[in-house]
Amino acid sequence: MENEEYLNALLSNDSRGIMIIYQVVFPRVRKFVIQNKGQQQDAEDIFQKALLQITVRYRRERFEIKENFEAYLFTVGKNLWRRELKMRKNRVTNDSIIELVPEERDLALSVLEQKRWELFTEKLELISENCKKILTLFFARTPYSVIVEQMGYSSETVARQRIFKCKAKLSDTIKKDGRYSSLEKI
Amino acid sequence: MSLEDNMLIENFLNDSLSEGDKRKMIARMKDDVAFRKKVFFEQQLFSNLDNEDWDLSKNPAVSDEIKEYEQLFKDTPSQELKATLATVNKKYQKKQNKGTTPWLLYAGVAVIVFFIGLTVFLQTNNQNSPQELYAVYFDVSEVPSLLHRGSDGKRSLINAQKLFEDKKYDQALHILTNELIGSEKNKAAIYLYTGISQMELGMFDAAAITFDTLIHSKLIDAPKGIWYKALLFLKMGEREKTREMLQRITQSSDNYKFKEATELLESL
Repeated sequence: MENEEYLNALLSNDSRGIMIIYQVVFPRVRKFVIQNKGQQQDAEDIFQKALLQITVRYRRERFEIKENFEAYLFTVGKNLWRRELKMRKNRVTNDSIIELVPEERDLALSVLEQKRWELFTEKLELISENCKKILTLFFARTPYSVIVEQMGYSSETVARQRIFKCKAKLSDTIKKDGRYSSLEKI
Repeated sequence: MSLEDNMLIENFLNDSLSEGDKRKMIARMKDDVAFRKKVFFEQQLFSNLDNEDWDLSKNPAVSDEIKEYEQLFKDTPSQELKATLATVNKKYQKKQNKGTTPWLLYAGVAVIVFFIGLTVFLQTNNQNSPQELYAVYFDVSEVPSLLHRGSDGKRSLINAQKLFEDKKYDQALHILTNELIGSEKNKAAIYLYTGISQMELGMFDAAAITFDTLIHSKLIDAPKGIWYKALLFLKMGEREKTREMLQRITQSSDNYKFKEATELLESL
């Protein structure tokens, strides 16, 4: 199925088309969730949320899905599960009272967070290959000693300076994008 | 932003500043709006680009865009889609379960045969003495790394990790003991490495104290201490105490090492 056909199935509430989406993508999302501290029920909930999120966002923005639909849906599902894990972690470690957010508000926030994530990852793709490589290691919190070794730098000082410059470039590109101003403060 | 400020912010976000520096940093963020914005942006970079993190919204103010989305999620087409998704999901899962039943059956039979075989094997080979079970269940490679996420490769910890992996537990212990006093970061892993080093060196009382300190701490990884304390008792040949610890783990399938604890309890 083409991207448009998948989206039309969702927009028109077509259960046959949606079943095809399930057959093609659900197993991958399920595998990711279960491999990352989740259960079958979590995978089912996340998958439904991902489909709902894409449909509602598409209804409002007619946004462009640059990759194929299957890959995009998997990414949205993966991100929604990372989001859920972070919320669960916050609930466990935060002693203060956590405000209960209505379901629809939470879904709305998840759309904007997804948009912010897309902006950041899109800009990371646009900087030089070398910068992208070193920043990917850096944001994965790889120790400097390992970065030095993997990138072939002479010292940690050199690595720090390189990261500093690459990060400045990336930050500049993100902030210059018009989308950032509305996503900055969510 | 200067390189110094950049490093300061990075250390702040990695929670590797001393208490004093942390206080200074928070005070500066209160007074200096531009600096606060830099810290905030740096945090966004990490949360969005670290594959194991997520940038949750922190602002309680509700923008027009959020309100608009909220309405869209509430409207009739969305509610209808939700209902359809629930129905399709139910059908799909039912179909999957049907399709996998024979596999599950075969897998179940295979597991039973495997365990019968394993039990017979263990009994005929007399391999269920506590020390032998300890050798089976104690796997150094499974201990969480001292250098994982957030670590900036502190030299002393790199050395401790290497010494530990080389089984030079006495030398590793010397570094780890010092780290326990000063370090706030990755403390649960340092406790584990310390306790295991003590256990391997036969310092059983000291190891028990270390694991207890971890278990009673508020650290996220505190429950891991229960599994290693169970292994400590196993190594000491204390079957009853081992059982008591393992029973704490088997109370919930969410507990760390639930599967192994269940198997080990049966073997004991």
